[in-house]
Amino acid sequence: MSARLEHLLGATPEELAPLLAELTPEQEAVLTEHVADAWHARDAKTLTAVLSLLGVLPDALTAKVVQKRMPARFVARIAPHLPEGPARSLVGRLKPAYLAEVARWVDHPRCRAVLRAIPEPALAEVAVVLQDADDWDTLAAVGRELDGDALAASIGALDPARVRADIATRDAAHRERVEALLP
Amino acid sequence: MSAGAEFQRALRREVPDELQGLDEATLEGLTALADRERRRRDAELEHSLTEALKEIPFPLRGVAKKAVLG
Repeated sequence: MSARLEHLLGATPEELAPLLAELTPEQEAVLTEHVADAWHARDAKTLTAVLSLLGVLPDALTAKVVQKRMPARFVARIAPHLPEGPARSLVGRLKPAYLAEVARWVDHPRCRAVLRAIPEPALAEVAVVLQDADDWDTLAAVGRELDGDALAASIGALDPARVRADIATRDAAHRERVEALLP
Repeated sequence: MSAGAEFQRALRREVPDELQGLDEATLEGLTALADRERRRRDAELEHSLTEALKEIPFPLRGVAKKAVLG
């Protein structure tokens, strides 16, 4: 849970740990949703200009502008505010390495629709990029938001032994869901 | 201004009931992190918009600038 809050506040575990020490798990969950709600509402207002800009560009140019000129962390903020059609078109055009970087920064529960819009072959490539980077936290966070087929596509691209080692550290629901997809 | 009010100002959102009992030091620490992240987000937005406009070819740049200015 605190990994999500670290991302939302741009904080290190060392900065956040003393502040969360006295909080109950329920309070931490409320705090995380509170911060996520605040940024989401603020971004909905402050990102109007950039969303308007992307809205007037042809799809291919949008993908070029995004990949060449916008940090993945910023695109992760835009992602949940894109209308479904443009979001689908954009994620279908981005390179897997860039998508993997965006996937690291998105607020995963709020980006379910965008993550599910990634075509399965690209999703498998993204999964491999994240595996190669040893970023199992992002793989797990993305995996929780995917439907069964998409999750199977991404798990199928990974090393089963490494997946088994990771899911042993995860919550039971995620572990059981992934285990069922392993050979 | 109380630490709770500072936190509310930083996030511009009413602090939920479940967090009303947090101590002052915790709220002050969270406020500092939220303020820092807000500044980072503003700078990131400005930089990204400026950079994006550079990538747009000339015939479309006017349309793009109009879209940005609303």
